[in-house]
Amino acid sequence: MENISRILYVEDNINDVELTLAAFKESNLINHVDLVHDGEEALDYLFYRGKYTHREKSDPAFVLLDIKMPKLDGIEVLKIIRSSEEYKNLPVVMLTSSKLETDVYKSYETGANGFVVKPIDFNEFITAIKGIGYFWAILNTTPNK
Amino acid sequence: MKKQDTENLYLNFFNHSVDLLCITDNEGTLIKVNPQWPKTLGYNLAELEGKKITEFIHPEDKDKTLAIFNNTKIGNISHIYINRYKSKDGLYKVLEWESCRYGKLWYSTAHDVTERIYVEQKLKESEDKYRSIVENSLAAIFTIDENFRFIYGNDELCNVSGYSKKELAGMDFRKLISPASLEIVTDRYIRRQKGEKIPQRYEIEIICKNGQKRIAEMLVSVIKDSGGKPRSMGQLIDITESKKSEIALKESESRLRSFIDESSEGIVIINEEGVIEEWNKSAEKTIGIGRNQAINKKWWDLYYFMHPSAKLKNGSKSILEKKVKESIKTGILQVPASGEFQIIHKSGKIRHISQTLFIIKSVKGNRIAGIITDITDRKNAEDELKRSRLLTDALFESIPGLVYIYNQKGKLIKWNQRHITETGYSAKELQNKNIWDWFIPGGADTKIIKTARKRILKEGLSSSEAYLTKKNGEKALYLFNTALTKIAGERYYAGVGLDITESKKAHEELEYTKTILSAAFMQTPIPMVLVNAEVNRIMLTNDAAAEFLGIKDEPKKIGKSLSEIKPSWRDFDENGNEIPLLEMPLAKALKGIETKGKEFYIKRKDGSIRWESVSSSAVRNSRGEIIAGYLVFPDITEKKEAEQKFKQLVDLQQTILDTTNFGILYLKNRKIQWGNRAFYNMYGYEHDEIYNKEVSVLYAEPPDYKKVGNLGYTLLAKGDVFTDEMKALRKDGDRFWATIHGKAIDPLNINEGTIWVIMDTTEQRLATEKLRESEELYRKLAETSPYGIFLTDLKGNVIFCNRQMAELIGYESADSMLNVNALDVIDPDDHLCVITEAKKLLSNQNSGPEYFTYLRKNNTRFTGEYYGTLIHDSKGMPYAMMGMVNDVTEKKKAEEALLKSEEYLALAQQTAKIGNLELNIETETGYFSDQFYKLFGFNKEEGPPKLNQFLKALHPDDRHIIIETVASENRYDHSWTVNYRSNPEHGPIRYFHSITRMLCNPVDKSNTLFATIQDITEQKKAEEEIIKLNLELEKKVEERTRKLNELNKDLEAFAYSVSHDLRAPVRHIDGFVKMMFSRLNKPDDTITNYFSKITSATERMSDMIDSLLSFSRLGRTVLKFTDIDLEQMIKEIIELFKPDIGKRIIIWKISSLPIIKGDKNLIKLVFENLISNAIKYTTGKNEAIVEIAAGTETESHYEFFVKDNGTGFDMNYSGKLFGVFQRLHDAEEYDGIGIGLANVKQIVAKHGGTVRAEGKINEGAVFYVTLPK
Repeated sequence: MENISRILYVEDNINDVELTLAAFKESNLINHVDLVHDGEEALDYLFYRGKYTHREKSDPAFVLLDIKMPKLDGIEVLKIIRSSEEYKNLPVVMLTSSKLETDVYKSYETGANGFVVKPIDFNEFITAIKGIGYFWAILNTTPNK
Repeated sequence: MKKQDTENLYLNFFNHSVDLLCITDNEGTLIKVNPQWPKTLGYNLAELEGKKITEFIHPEDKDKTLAIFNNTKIGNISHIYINRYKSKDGLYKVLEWESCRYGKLWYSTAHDVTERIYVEQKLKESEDKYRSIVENSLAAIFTIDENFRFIYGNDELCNVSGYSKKELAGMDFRKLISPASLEIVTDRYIRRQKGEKIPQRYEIEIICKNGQKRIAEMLVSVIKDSGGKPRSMGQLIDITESKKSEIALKESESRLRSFIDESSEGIVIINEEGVIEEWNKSAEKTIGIGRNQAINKKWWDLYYFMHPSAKLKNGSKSILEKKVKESIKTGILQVPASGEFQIIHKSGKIRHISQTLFIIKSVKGNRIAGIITDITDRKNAEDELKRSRLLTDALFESIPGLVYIYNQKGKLIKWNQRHITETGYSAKELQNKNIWDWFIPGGADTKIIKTARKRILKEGLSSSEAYLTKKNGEKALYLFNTALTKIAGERYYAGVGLDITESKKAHEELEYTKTILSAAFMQTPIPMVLVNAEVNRIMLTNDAAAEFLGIKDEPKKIGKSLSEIKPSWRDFDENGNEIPLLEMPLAKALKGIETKGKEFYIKRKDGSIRWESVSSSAVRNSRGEIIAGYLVFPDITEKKEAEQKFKQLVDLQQTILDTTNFGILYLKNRKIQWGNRAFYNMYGYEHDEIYNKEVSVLYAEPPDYKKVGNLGYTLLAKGDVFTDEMKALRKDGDRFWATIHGKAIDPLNINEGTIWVIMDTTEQRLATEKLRESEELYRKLAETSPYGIFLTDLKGNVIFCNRQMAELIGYESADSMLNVNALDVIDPDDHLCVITEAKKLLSNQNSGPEYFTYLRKNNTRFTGEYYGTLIHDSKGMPYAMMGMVNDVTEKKKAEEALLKSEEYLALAQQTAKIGNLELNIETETGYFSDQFYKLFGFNKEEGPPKLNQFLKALHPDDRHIIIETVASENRYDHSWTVNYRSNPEHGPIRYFHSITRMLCNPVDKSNTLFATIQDITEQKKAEEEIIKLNLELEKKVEERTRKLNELNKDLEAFAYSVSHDLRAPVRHIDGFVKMMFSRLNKPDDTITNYFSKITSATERMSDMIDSLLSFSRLGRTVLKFTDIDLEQMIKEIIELFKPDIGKRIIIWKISSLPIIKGDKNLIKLVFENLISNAIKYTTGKNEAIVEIAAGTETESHYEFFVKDNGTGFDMNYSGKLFGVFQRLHDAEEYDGIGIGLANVKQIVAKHGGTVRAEGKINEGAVFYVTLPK
């Protein structure tokens, strides 16, 4: 189990958290999902800071990043991730309610690996999460650091 | 003795007798039995007395017993007889009887002889047994007495010795013994007699009666006879044969031994233990293991000699051991009886071994014998053979025909695949094929093959063609090449058959064609010759040729060279020069030079001359080489003579013909042969130019040529003259009218030629044409003239009148005016004038214009302007008066109006402050309107101003405009529009707009300036005001735009919020409700219903959010204008909706639509929405009609509408139609969220257009869209 990498999920809205985790559960993905609630915390997690100073050293398989968040929003977090040496290749999938083209554009510009609009229909949402999980946690390979 | 005593005595005797005593009556009933009966038989007395005696007698003895009773007479005693009586225990007792009869009673005694009879019987059985043993013994058995005399000898002794029993009886036993054995026999005999124990069994040699010596095994024992004398009993067994076979066996064994040893095959024998008992020299050699190494070894231990591949096949040692033991035990081989395998010989070489195993069932038990042979050489030979077979097979298969080998009996023993593909028989079927199966028995082909076979036997090979019958019954012609081979003394027929059906057919066809052709060649009436190119000899010629050349009676020509038959005639060309042999067309043809239709003549032997039209050509083979020359020379003598005759005739008439003006033309087959001078002049050709040309060159119009060809020649063939007029074509391209008359020289043979007389009728034609043209011109003039025109005779009666005249006077047609007197249609007040005018006319003066008042038929009147002319006939006599009348009522009115309008104009100019002037530049004189004076403040009383003065009235800066205009080089070219100002010194500045034109008088070259001048001071002021206003407006617009941009930004933020923040809760609701529902245990219908309502509500909410977002985005879209083929676009949209329409019937009425400018995607969205609505809201209609068409077009805008006959809507709510989320229909009834028309409005508005809708409930709706051009 130690070898199975984790998934970092960044989301401020507790309803979304619950639904997304339910969707992950539904999709039978064995990767453990680590949840953080805002951009700051996400960066703490990734760079072993704050309460994550003593986190076990391991890179997540991918980051599921909500865009609209208080403090640091998703795009800003992505910017920092991409500018770091450690995580320039880390798969980041933007997950958002918004269909706004500017967001899509900005995300890809900043280096997102995917952009997923949370479908309103819960069944579709499960399908989307399944797809994301299978692709980024199982099928995808990233260059070794 | 007293009777009593006697009776007692008898009774005692009776009661105590050991015999059975009884008294029976005649019926055999036991009356009295003595006590011995119960003793013997075990019955009590009661069970016996009174019973029939026969009840106890054995059934087999009953008859015998009864017979004795019946045969014994009264007083006599019967014979002693024995019968069997049943005792109580069920066993039978044997009783010996004696009976005597006294009176009616029988007195019988019996005693039980059961024991005696039993013993006797046993003894007898025993004696019989021994006797038969002795008698039948295989051994000769004998007894001898002490003096060597035979007492007994059985049959076998007779057999062995050859003596009969008689001879043997009393014969000295020693006579039978050979001297070699006599001593030992005697010695033993004596010693045995003495009671010495000596071996009983020994071998001796005996001498038979015939002196033959035999070896016998003798077994002797001493017995004592009943008298106590010793007897010797012996048995002799003739062992000669077995002895012999023993010896033979021994011999054979040694023979076999050496055979095994010397055998060329390796022999191995294995006993039941698997131990090798035999291993001969060949085995040593073959396997490479010595005898000593092999013997007494277990076979499977020696197994190592096998090549690994063989080992693999036979399995491991233990399996082999098991199999071998099993084989020996059961007597059935468990290992393969024979096999070939490879071994590694001791020498290290691989050898092929063949091994045959079999079971030997010997006395000592079962053995496995193996024969081992080295077959390496055979194997190699086999491989070689196989290879050569493969080669042969490949060879067989590569031959493109049937390859076969038949044996002597005609059976097919070898064939190639082609047999299968060509004959259709399978390999299996072919296996049973006999050579004769291929051909119909007794048929021609069978005979051919039989003949061929005979030839093969004689000559070794043969080649023959025969029809072979295939499986499907088809026949094919084959060429069989067969040879005889002998293999191992057997004869075989081997060969190849080739299907030559096709080639034969082709050959036959060629043959046929050749025959036909040569026949045709021979029979044709056209002389021909074919000469072989190689040998230059005649290959073929026909009778016609001989006939022509006048050598019909001479011997055969074929095979001769040309020069050989040449002396019979001489050849000349047209000009009478003799043609040398090598220049003759045939000779040329052989060199590849063709001749076509050359006219030569020959002088025949008899001096007669024949003309020929010679053609020749070379005959080439498929490689293009010349193989023959071909000459055709039809006889044209007759034609030539006719031609010459005609020429003579023509020569004769030439002079006459040439002097005529008619063109004369002689045609043959519509080809120009000859024409007279007039003809050539007429058409502009020289004779040579058009000789033999198609006559069509003379026709200007192809249809004429055709017409003459069809109609004309039909008539000519009847002998009629054909006349026609047509347009003729000269050489120089000019056309002229020609009248032609044609006639056939010989109507029955139109090919003889036709003669044509041609006249140039152009002049005549032109005159008529001109007349016709002028007539038409006048007629047209009269008809189309705006004037009423009429002719009257000198008395004033109308003899001609045009339509206009009739109309003026109110008559329905021109004809109805005829014969009306002119005075009748003129106001009587004017009659005097009219008459005066008429007189004027008659005195050759033209009259008019005169104004008369005319009377219409309906009694109204009009003023007519009249012009009159007197008309003369061709002789110059006046015969009619012509009048032209024009209704000038209107004109009169207009003239009056014009006068008025001039006044108005002046007034208008004054009002509009327009002045005008005409100024002669040179004389400085001209006309200036009143307004002009006013505009510039000149005093009219002072007369027109000079140019200089005019200039002074202008602003100093603007004066150059006038000067330049006047001086400009291109001043005459156009109107000048110039603006100038008044001189500020003369008061407030006024602005003038002037249009000026310079004209040059062609006579005195003086220049006149025409100008209109308008005071535009007021407009100018207004303009300035506008400019000022515009500037302010721009500022305002900027301000607005800035505000709008801010608003846009807000809107964007709002849209973002809508799309993100509103979506999230909707999603949460959907998610949690679905999760909740999935956790519900058996939700009831109500809950399920609520659940689905929530789900669809969230769905709808989501749709609304999305469409609101796209609506807001639409508002911010920048349009990309391109040309749009609207009609095409509408058709595409309808195509798009086809799946939604499904089986519904919608009648689409799409009229032609223009190409418009707009943003393609957005305009498409507009019409998609409108059409989609039309489809949606006509759902209930049986026959929906949707019309898409262009509406009222204005200068700036197109209008389009989409009209349906659907649900329609209440016009009171039409304002709401285009609002966001506004719907006039129930969502239940028609789905949708009410954004479509809002989008339409927004898009159209962005394009600068408008939308509106008209509708009526249940009658349909029309949506109008205007778009700028």
